[in-house]
Amino acid sequence: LNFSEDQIRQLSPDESSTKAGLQLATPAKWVNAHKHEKALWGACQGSGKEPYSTMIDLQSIAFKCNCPSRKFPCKHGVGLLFLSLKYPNHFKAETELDSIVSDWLNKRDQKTQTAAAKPDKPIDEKAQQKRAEQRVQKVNAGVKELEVWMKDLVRTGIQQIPNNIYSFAANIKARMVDAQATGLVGKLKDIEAIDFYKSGWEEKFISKLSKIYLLIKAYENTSLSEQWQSEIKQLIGWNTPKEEVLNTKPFNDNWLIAGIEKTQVDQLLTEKIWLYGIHSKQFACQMNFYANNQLPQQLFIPGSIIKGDVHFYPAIFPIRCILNQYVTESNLPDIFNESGAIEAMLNTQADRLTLNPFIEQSPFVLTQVYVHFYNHGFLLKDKNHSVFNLKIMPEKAWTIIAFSQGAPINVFGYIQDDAFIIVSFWNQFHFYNMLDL
Amino acid sequence: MKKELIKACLLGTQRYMPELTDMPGPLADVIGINNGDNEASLLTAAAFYSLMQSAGTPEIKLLSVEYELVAENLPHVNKQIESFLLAALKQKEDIVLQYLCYKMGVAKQIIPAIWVPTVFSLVKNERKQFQYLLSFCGSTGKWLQKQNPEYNFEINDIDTIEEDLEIVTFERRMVLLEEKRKKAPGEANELISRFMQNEPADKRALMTTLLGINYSEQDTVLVTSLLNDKSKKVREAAYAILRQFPGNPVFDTFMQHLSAIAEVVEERHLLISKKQVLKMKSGVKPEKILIEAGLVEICSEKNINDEWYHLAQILSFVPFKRIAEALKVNELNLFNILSDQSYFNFLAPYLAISAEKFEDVPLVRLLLKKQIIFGLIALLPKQEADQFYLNALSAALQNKETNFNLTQLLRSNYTETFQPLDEQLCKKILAFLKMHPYGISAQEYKLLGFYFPASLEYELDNLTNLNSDEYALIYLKNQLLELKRYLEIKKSINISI
Repeated sequence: LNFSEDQIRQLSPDESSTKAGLQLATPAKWVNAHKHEKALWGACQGSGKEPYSTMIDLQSIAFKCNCPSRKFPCKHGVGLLFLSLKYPNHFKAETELDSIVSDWLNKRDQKTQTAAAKPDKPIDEKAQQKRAEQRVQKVNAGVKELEVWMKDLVRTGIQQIPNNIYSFAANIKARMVDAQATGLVGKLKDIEAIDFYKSGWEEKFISKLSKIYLLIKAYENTSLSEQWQSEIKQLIGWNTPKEEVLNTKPFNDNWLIAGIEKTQVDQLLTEKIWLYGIHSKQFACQMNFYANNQLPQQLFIPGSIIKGDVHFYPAIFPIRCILNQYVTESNLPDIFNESGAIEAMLNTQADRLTLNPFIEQSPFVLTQVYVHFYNHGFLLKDKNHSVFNLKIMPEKAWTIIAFSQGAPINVFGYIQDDAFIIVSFWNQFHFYNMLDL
Repeated sequence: MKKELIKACLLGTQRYMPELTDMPGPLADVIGINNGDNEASLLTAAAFYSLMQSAGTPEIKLLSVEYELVAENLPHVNKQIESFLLAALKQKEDIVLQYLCYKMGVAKQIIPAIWVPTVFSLVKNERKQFQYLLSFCGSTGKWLQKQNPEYNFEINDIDTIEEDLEIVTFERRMVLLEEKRKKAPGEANELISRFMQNEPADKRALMTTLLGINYSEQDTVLVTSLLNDKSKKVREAAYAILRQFPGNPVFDTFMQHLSAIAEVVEERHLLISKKQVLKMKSGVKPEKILIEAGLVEICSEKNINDEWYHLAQILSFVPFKRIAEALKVNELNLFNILSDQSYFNFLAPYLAISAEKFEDVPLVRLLLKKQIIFGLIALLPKQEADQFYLNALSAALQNKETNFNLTQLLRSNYTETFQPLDEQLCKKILAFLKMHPYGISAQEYKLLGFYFPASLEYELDNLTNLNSDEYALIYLKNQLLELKRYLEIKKSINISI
């Protein structure tokens, strides 16, 4: 795999690491450098007596270095990649991996496999069932209270809520935490996040509130199919264990890393890796959670293609997944050249909502579209002049317009609350993740 | 129906409950509305309508005018410079951005299109502090300006191009007219007269000052005509020109008044020798035209007679050479005569104004012999100026002067082309900073990084390796490390561009 300069910059944790990496990208700084189809490794002379040993897993992009840096990847990892780009001939081609590198790669493989085939622990079924029943009781009681709260709200009217935005849902949210209905907590937080100073807040409020009502009514409906009941339970707050997901049938494809999103709430960083199946046109999203500055376990380059297995969480419209056993394949091929994107998107969105009315983020790849400034806001526009609402910060929107230079571009994003949110965009030369702007 | 639902939710079902009659009957039964529970019915109906709306969003067409983007005729900066630029933009590092702009200007390169909105936001949010970046936004910048009314900045090209004086902004027009005045004063006068007609007083006064550039007798008629302008500011600007040059009544009257209040005469000195001295006459009233031309009649300072005040003003209005001619002495003699006066300290600032305004290098030299005025040193040829700086700093070091204005010295030495400072001077600067680390601000240390000669890096290392618990030296060490960082940035930019 050959990395482009842009891709290496994207992998770098920050600007200073990029600069330091570039400074290290000269043969004089490296005591030795080796390449193999699976890995790159080398020894970089630092300020210490012994050179630092740096290695890169090229198949599922990972770095290892014995320097004391807390950055991931460190400047030596970034430097080794830049060195491979600038001085490919400086690397000695190896047919076999160095023993240390081989051990490291094997350990990484084993780690992935053991996660899938975790040995069953002895289970106290009775205690487990008791816990499950207790949880159902807790959730049921919580759901009842939520219903009463919602009805009270509608009975007395919502017009005073903008005067009380920080506390109107505080108690019920805390109650849902106690009831272990974490999914409902998230939905109540969504209501709190509405911009109450903007006109039209009432409609958004009612829409979100009524959908929660629909969800709890669906939860109470025991006549639904088992699959639907499982879907509803997940939305209320039940988690599916990772092991269970990894035991589902894998879905193999060449996946485009369509975009990466990160949101930080208090000490918890949530990372969403959006994938798009090149052959299947299937969307997938792996969510990673990092607490207290924990380092990421996987590194992906937006716009690159990986080949591998995806295990979907069971769902009516499966999106959330776990990526398992993958190798980085190539850079983005020019595969998207359709037009009439928005009409097709609206039709697909209608189909998806018919299939599952609870979809919150409905992903799409749109080709040959423009970001259009209109009446103090921004629209997504295709070649047929069809438009759709865009939710975007003005500076970012102008950045995309400047990037496009008036020509159509491709975007990946999702529809949320009847507006499109762009996660990444590209043309035949460059791929940009919104996070990097 | 949607309006009805929103109204009911806002007011509360206890006050208002709409009829949910237009919901299809069988569907209404299935989803359980109209069952007597108003709140449940309303929430169900709202969910239903919200989903219907999301799933049935109609396709909307928008036919709009697209602005055409003119192809870029200058290359973009490379990836390395782009990364420096981005880091500096994000951290709002004014000094680095200025240096990058200088290098981009020399290399005739522009900012990559994708970062133009970031530059625009920076200029907009920081009250146009970073306006100099706009010249590097290329045609993408102008294209975006047409689309977004908030990007209402003036963008000057880094390329010299033919511009239409009719459509450019006032500031740009001034620059173009100034160039014209230098090359073809006659043509420039026609244009100045034409454009002045439509401008307000402030701008007309500014345009009048252009006539002072490359002034000749041919301009006298036009400038004199402006003495009848309705605006006082324009009249003042015209008088300011006329009082500098002979061949007009304003200048002549000034010289007559000078002769009336001052005279250089010879006096016996030490019995056998003779000495020229200045004799001043009091009680001479200036003519009305002089008052109109800017002369203030009464001095507000204590112990200064009005005739000395008149002389001081004339010294700042009229080139020193012409005053010497009027008093029938040479410049050196006149300066010596003036410097012998007890009033010299009062006259010196007016002489400095004259030296600076008329770029009178001999007068600068004479003044600098008496007193160090940093602003004037810059008017000297570089080598001579460097020597002055060096001497001034050496004297400050020798006398352990902590109130020496190093910032002023540095600023006078900085050039637009970021030329490194003289090595000897830099050594003295470091010695001064070691003695007085707080002599310049933290920002000034950073700026010095861009002017510090790389050959003296070892001197920086010596100072940064000093071990001391003294707060002042710890401060110095930190600031010099920052200076070094900027020196490194400069080196990296120089290699990359």
